[in-house]
Amino acid sequence: MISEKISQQVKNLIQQEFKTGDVILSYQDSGTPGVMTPIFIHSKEDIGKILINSLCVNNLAVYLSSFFQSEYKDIKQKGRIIITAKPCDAKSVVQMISDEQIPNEKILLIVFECDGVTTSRLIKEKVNQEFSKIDIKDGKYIVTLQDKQSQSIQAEEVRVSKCKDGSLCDLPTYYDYYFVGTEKSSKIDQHSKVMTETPLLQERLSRTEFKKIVDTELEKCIRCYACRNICPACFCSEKCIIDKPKLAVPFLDKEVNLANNILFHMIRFNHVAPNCTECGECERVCPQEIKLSIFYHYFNRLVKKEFGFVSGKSDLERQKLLNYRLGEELV
Amino acid sequence: MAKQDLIYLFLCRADKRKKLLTEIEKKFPNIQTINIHCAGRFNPILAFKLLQQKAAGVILLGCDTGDCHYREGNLFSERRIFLARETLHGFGMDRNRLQALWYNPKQIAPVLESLETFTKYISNLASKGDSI
Repeated sequence: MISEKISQQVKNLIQQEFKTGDVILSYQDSGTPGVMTPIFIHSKEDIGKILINSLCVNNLAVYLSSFFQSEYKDIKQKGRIIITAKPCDAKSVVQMISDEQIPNEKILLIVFECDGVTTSRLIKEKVNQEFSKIDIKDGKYIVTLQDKQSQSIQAEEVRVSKCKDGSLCDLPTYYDYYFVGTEKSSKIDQHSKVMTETPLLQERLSRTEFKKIVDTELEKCIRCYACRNICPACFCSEKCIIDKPKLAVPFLDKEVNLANNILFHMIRFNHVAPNCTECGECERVCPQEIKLSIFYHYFNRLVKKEFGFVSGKSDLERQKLLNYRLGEELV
Repeated sequence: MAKQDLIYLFLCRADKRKKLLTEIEKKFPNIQTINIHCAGRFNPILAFKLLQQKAAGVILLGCDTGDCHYREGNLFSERRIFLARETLHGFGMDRNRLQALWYNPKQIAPVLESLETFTKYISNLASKGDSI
C-alpha cells in the first residue's frame, strides 16, 4: 500500500521544485470510484490536485516523448518535465533516455516506493457487483457497495499480474528523488518465479502445441492498436509502418484475420523486443484481454541471454543492437 | 505479392557480384534476386511479409565482417536477423526459412554451395507437407 505520507511528501517536493514553464505529470482522482487518471499541471495552483495511492496503475512514461516533438516547441526551449513514477515506470523512463528519445537534463524523475497496485476492473471482479466508493486503510481496500454495505479486500488478492513477481521492483541506476515508506502490508517476494512459468519458456511444448496457443490468443485480436499507442517503447509515432499514408499499397491490410494479426504482432514484437521493460501496459489496455506478457517474457529473456542486456537498468547503456564494435565476429 | 514456393535472395553490391548472379540464374530457377545497397538496409519486416504470403524462404547475402562498404552495415543487420529469426520461432514458425550468408563479392563457390543446401532443406519441408 502506498501511504498518504508518500503522496504528501511528493507534493511538498514538487512545490519546491516547480518553476514557471515546467510541466508536472502525475495522478489525480478521476471522480469515478477506483480510477486514477493522469494529470498535466502547468500552474502552481493545481499542485494540490495530485493524489498518489495504490490505484495508480498508468505508466506515465508514454506521454514524455510527445513533449519533445515539434508541436511542443515552447517546452523544448524552456522548463523541465517533472514526472512521478513507480519503480517499474521509472525503468521505462530510463530506457527512453538511453534510447535518446528524451533528453536527460529536461526530466526530473521522482520515484516512490510501491508494493503492488490494482485496478478497478480487478476489484469489480472480486466483489462481483458495482461499487460506489473505495477507501484505502491499513493495507486493505474498503469497498462500499451499492446497498451501502462495505467489504474489505486484502491488497495481495487483487494485485495486477506484473506485481505478483518482484522482478520489476528494483530501482534503475538513474533517478532524481526516491521516497520510501509503505503502509503495513506484505512485501512482494523478490524471489518468486512467476516469469519462468509462461508456456513459451518451458520449451517442453512442441512447435504445433505452441502454435495453437499463439493462434487462439491472436485470433481474439481486433487490431485496435491500443497496445501500440500505450507502449513507451513503441516510439515511431506517426512514422509507424502500419499506418503510413504515403504508401500506394498499405503494408498491412485493414482486414482483420489471423494472418494479418500475426504479421502485426510480429512486427511489433520485433521492434519492441530490445527496449521492452515489461511494464504490462499493453496487457492492461487490451480490450480483448490477450495475454501479451507471455510473448514479452520470452523476448526479454532472449535479449538478456544473447546480448547480455537488461532494458531499463541504466541510462548510459545503449541498446545492444546498436552497441557493437568493429571487428566483432558475426554469429 | 509474393509468389508461392519462391526463394527471395536479397544481396548487396550487385555490381561486383555479376558472375554470381548469372550462375544463380542458370542453376536456381526458383530464386528471385533483389538488389539492395547494403545488407544493413535490409528490413526484417519484409521477410515477415514475404513468409506470411507463403514464400518458401528469404536469404540475405551480405559482406563479411570488416568488408562492408559502409563499414558497419552488416553488423547492424546480423543482430536484426538474429532477432527476426527468434521472432519467427516465438510465433511458432520455422526460423530456418530466414537465413543470412556473409560472403565477400569475390567468393562465389561457397555461396552456391550454401544456396544448394538451403533449397534442399526447403524442398524437404515441402515433401513433408510442412507449411508455415
